[in-house]
Amino acid sequence: MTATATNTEPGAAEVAGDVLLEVDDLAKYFPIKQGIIFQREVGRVHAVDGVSLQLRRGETLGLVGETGCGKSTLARLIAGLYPSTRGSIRFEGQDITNLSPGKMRPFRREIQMIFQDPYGSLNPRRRVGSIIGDPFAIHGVADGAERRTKVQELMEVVGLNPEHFNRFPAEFSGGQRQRIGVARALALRPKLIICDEPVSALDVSIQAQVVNLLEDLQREFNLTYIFIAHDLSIVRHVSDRVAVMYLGRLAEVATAADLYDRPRHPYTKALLSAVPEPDPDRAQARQRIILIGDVPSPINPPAGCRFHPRCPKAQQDCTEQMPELTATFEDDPATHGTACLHPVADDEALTYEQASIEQDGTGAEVSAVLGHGGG
Amino acid sequence: MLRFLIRRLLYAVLVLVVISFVVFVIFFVLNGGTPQEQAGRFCGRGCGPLQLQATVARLHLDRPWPQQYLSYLGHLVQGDLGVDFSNNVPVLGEITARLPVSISVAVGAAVIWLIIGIPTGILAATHPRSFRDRAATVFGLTFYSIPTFVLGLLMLLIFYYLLTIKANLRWFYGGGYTPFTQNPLTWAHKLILPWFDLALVYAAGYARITRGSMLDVLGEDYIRTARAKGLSERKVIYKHGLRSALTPIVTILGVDFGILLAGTVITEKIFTLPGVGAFTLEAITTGNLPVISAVTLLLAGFVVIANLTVDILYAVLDPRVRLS
Amino acid sequence: MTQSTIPDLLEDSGGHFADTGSGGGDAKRIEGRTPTQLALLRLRKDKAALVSGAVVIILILIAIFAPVITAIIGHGPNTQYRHTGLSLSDIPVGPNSTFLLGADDFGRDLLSRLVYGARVSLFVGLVTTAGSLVIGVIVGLVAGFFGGALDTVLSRITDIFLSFPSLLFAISLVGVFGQSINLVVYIIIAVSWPVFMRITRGQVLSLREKEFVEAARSLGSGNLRIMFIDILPNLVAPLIVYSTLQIPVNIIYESTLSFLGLGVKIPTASWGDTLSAASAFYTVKPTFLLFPILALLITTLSFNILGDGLRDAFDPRAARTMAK
Repeated sequence: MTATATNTEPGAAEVAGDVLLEVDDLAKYFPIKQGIIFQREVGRVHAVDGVSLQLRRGETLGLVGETGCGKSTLARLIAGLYPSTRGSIRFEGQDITNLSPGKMRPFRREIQMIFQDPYGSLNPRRRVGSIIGDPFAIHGVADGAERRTKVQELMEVVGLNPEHFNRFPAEFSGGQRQRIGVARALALRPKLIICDEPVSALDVSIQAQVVNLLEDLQREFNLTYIFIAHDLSIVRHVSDRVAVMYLGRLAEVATAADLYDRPRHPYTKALLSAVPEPDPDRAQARQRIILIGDVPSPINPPAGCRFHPRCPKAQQDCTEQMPELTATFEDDPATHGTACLHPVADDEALTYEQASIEQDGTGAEVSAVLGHGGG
Repeated sequence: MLRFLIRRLLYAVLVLVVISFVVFVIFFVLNGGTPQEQAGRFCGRGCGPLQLQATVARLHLDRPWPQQYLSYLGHLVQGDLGVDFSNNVPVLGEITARLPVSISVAVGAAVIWLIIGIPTGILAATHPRSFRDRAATVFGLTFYSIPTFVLGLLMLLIFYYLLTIKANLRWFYGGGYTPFTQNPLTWAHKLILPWFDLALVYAAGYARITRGSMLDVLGEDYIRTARAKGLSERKVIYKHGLRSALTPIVTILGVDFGILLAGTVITEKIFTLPGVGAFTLEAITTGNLPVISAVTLLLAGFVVIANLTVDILYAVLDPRVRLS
Repeated sequence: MTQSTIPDLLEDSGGHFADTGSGGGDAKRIEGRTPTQLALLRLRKDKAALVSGAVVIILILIAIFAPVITAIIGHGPNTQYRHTGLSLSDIPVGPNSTFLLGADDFGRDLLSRLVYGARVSLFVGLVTTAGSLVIGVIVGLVAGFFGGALDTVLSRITDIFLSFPSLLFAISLVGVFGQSINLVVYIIIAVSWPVFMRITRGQVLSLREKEFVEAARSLGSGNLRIMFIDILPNLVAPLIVYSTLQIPVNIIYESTLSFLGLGVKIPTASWGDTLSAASAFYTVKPTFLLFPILALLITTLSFNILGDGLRDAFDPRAARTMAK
């Protein structure tokens, strides 16, 4: 993995010229409509609510969070599959926010996506060669025999037998289908590939193969990745930097090493404490942080910091102020941004902390949960 | 629920208006000609110039067609569907007089086909690949391929010609109608052949649909769970499976019933029943436009109402529909 | 940079191969079996469907070569043989050496009439199914794919077409415009396209949400391309099945209209018209009624059995046994 370098602000890239993608205060609200004849908007789902980050050429940004935190929506916003409600997206300096389909087309050659479901992301009624050749056909790059050659080259690159290009997706295993998806995404040599949980649906043994493939391809073709997953160990392995999302906003962004060794946001700390630890002795010694309550509905997000109803460190100002992503403690590098008013220090143990404000769950439930912390 | 009702009702009204407009277009606009010629079609051949003028005035035939349509609507709302020119009787009255016949046929057939069709379908679905299933499938396939009028003719051939005339077993009537109020037994007796004529064709269709629907439902996971819980097979099928399997049938029933009312035309012709359908067929031969236009409108309206009723029933049964 | 992941290639591919290549070293072009080929394989095992398919082909050939057949028989379909075809009391003769199936009420050769009637039935059946297929698929595709207001409007229009009692519609149109085969075709198309629209729309709605559509979009594929290259191929199988099943429905429709005197103009031969005439003579010459019935039944049955066979071939789940 390419090494990180110094920078000026959290989530920022090395030098402005090397920024491939810049997202500024991006938001996406889905309206909820009701009405007899004419539908009125009665509420909104705040899927993504103000996300800003920068992506440097050649790096891999991991994006993690629970289901429903908005990471898939964010991915699709960047890929131009949804129009955004607010904010901007800049690719290589050019504004690609909400462009018309015609104007967006050239950018689609540069930004590609790999999907989670190996069974649903390939059209069962089309041959694999046709699927992989789609980008060539759509953008008028190659035809006929030339296209076939390129498709077979791609198949070889991702580790498939090029003789199989006339087969149907049903004849391939899950891992192979993901390779087909990778080949399709790679066809026009994009600069950015967004991987939306590319290995979550695969068997563990196959996951490693696909991840290795993605890493090899990145080296060979100088790709930039956004790697979305909920498996934190994989994310740690592949990412240069990691962003943690919660309820549509970024909770913390840091280099992989910083995030895993020195998490600052209580949510990150809780997430990490849930990652299984192979060494039984260390596992026993570790304290698990159990969060109270459930993820609130994105229709009515909590005021102030989104996490305060479940945060063990929550205090009164957390319900009033919305924390911004900033570097926290003095000796943290500027790349490490945390959106928290009371970030966690290195030696702090959250297991027995108790918030000073009212939260989800009754008082009895809260103390019962905290009483069982650990293990 | 209320929201759904209002929406559904408004839609039904919209459809009725559209239908009235379409009928109007067919009979008053597409039917070109001078106001006199048009009046002639609604007045009959025996009409003199004075009567023609009166017809022109009554139907506003000399005004531009938007006005005509409005006056048409106006007449409709007041219950005036035109006057049968052959006997000068208001058409509405003629239709309502014959309605009981058509309804007797339709309702009786519907009851029979439900009784035959649905259990057959269930039986076929619950004993797949058995003789029962095969027999039911063949039954379904055969009768589904027969047009109603062919089946009716076949029935006449077998039950009337062969039995009554050749074998002298006077079990069945070859046609005719006795009102229920006059003699319920004869009423039913005369209607048996027409009932089964309609019922068998539809029963076959329903058996097919029920079978398919039940097979789909019985394949679902929650049925497997019910079995695993140890419920008796009977409970599994009837309590859990049937309820979901029946919902598509209810919708189809509504649509079919509406079409059925119109479809009694055939049975009425074959079995010489004095219903609305036969009445309309006569009207075509005599070119009696007031009758034709009125019947079309009325029966189309019936279909809309039948659909509305079914939709409401469906919403009562299946809460998901109300919320969509 | 070739990752020769030989273990990868030997992984269980879960499919069917025309030949099993040894891992990675095969120079032959390996063809996959398309879902269509698999369906055809299944179909080959369904004897009933195969027989029906053969019957359908024979019928089509009879219809195409009608003039040849009647030339061989020696009797045209419209030539009246009043002396040899009718008895002294004007009753049509039964099957004999001159008239293989007997004569009709005008002394015309029944066999010739039926052969030409096949032309009308099959022509109308195929043309109307094709026409309603095209219209229904286009409307359904647009409605299902674009959704929103467009979908609502198109669905409502379709519903209105559906709620029109078709027979009544036909009656009123013929009453205004008179009989013609074109009118019959238009009416049947107008009545049957909603079926295809509903099927298409339903499929498109679920296909639209699939990830491969999203993937196509992310590649820059335009709406038109997605509709025709990604979605349409997934519709082919159900559309084939429903078309085959719709043909007999439309044939029945045409014969019903002809039976009621609303179909093709006399003296053009039509099965419905023949049946109508025969129904007056069934007490004295039942064969006159029997043969047209057989012709119609064989036709509709074979299309229905073929259609069912196709459906089972494409989607074997429907025929799977329920584990008890």
